[in-house]
Amino acid sequence: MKAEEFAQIVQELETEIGKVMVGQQDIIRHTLICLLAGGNVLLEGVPGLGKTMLVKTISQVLSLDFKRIQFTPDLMPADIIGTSIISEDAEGHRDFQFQPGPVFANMLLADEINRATPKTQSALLEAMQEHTVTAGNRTRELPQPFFVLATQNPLEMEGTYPLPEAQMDRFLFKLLVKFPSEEELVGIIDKNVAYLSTELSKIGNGGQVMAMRELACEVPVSERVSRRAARIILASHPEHSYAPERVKKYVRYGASPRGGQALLAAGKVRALMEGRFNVALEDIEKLAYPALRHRIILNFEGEAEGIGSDELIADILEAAAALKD
Amino acid sequence: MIRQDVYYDEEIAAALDPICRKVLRQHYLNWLLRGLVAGFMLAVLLRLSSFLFPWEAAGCIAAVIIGMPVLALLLGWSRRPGIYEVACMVDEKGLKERVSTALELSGVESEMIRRQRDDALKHLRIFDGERHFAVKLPRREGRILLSSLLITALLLYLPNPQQPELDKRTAVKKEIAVQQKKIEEVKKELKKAEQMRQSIPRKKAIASLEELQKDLGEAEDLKEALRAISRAETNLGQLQAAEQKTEAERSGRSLASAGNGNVTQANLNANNGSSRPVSSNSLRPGQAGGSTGINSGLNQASQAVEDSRAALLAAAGSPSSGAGSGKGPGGQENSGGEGSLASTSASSPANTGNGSETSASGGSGDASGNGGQSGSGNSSGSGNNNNNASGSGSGAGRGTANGSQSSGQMNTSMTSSGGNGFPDMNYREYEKIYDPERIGIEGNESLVQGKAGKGPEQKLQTDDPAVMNDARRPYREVLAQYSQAARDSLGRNPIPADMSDVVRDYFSSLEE
Repeated sequence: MKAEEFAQIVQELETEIGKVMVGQQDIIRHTLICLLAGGNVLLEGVPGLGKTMLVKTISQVLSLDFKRIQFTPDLMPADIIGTSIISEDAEGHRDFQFQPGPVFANMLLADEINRATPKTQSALLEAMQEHTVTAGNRTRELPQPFFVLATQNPLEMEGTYPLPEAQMDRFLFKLLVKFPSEEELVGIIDKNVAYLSTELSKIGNGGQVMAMRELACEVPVSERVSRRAARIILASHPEHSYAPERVKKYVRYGASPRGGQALLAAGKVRALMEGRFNVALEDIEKLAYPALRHRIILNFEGEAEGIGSDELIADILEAAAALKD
Repeated sequence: MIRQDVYYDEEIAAALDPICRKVLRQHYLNWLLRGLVAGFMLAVLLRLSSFLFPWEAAGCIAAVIIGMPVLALLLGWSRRPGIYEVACMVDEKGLKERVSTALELSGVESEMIRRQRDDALKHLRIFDGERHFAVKLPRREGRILLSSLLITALLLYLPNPQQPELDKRTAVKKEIAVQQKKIEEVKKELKKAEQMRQSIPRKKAIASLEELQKDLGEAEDLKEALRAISRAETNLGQLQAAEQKTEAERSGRSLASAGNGNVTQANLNANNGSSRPVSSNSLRPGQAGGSTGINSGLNQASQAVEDSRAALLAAAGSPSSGAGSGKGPGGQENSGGEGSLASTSASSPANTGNGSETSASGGSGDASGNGGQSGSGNSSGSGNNNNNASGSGSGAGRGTANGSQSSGQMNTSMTSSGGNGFPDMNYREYEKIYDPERIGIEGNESLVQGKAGKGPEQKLQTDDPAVMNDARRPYREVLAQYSQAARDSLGRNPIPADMSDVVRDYFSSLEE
């Protein structure tokens, strides 16, 4: 695939999705970046903002297999990955047959992932990380591309099982779905509720998504950009000399190296989307927010004072930029 | 010329070349301004310091104003940006790391990298370097430079309170050079005389003059120069005293052998009713019997040294009247060490008294109970911090032109002065000695009240009616005796060098 095709496909995807989704341009773009970077997304937003519709629309325009799991406290791992059941063939022979779970899809919407038990969560998270499922004594590959869009409801957190930090790290991006503006709300309201009847063009397929991922991996990154990404990660750690004052005061743990990899992987996709053949510092800085906000763990003082991760990320970016090359 | 970094690509370098020139121009302009700012700020500091301390700052200021920009440009040259840095600067203006990435990967081959390099070159060629890298005067440096310029101009315009001191120092330095030449001439004469007839005192005098020349050359200010002169004067004074003593002994022996029983060894005899000076065989300062040449050489050397002192003091603006040499009371230099005080110069006939509180010399004791016979006695004279001439009797001076008291009586003191070290001269308080015979005017007789001093006394029985009836003696008659007594005393007793100078100068001034 050529770079020009890449940018064109992405442009068309955004346009096509925009027919169904009103507003949320950033969310759409970042979701596509995450998809093309080979990562998974954690969406946080109140119900009714189009999270499910977004994933469904993407799967439609890309001709990808879509599945949805509604996480509840009684959900079991087998409900996600599948299980073996006894089945009888025509000749009357009985055997265990594996019934794949909903995880065997190209695009999976894990709705309210924080409502399921940690045991169930880990089953999904393992699949996300390894792209395989182990059931019984057999490991099964998940279809490619495999993309998980998990959601969390910031309201009604009582009785839920927040994802542990180590698990949060597996999501490439955490996107905050904001409530639409007035104009956007008017557009949403005006739209026909039966949105699924809207005809959407097939822009690409799974194979093209994989080709786009491969192309994105080839995008070069200069040493200057890599160094900036490294400094950003270091500056997120309160014990490091690069860390700004507020990080030292409010952060318990900083981002892991996976955060740096996320920055560069996403940066490559963004560069191609903009018609460039190299990652720029601007890419790193723009993508720092979705890539790092769920990787920076606040301490008690930070949580008590209601400090947002995005504020700290702004300080970190400023501190990293001020360091001399 | 742009510096080549680790990363280099010819094609990209060629595309960057116009931008590199602009960047370098701006870079050197920035450093030049920084240098000028530093130079002018340093000039301001130097100028301010020259207001507080007397030193010649003009040269340093000029050197700093010229030198700092040059230094800054050199530093700028060593820190000039390389091609990679220029590429990064261009990327920051909207090329989004295209050029720097292309430079870094210039040696790597792949389809994507080739596409990236082409993309970078394409954008570089359409990049508006003129607009983004126009040479501009940095505002901050410009403001600081303007302020520094104004402050420097203001400080240069303001009069330097230390300027009089500086002028004085310059004048002193010039005068030192002049005096060194004069001393050189005197030295040459002494050397000529020495070649004809060798003598140890003359050799020592020459050595003393040479040392003085050397010390004057090394002297950084008036104080050091005067110290050097004092040392030379002390040396020469001691040589003179020793020479005169030798002559006195020689003359004494020759007189004794000539059968003049009335003359004592010490020889401060009065004339027999005559006011003529004693015989030529008697001792008079400066008149060595058998070694006139040596003595005159020593005198010449002493005179040259004294003249140097006077000239330096004059150059420094010391208001010594009559150009006196001499030091302050107690042998100490005045505050600041700048000068000695005014005592009278040996060269002026209208001598003022030594401005010392110490007593002059003089013979002590009286002669046979009269109001003061001059003459007998050697006085120590020194060490008395009183205002009286410790000499005996009267006659130590006669007549003053201005009705002032007689000689040897110094009223006043020299006060150490303030500020610049020169004494606060108040000549109206000095009592001056004027000999009408010397200055050719009529005046009142100057009488000296004799007072017994602490030195040994010597009595001489005489029937001379002039002495018996009238204690007055022309001072010229007693001067030699007093002078010799003083010199002997100076040679025998541990007297501070400055005080010796006072005594010596006093009698020198009277002798002229």
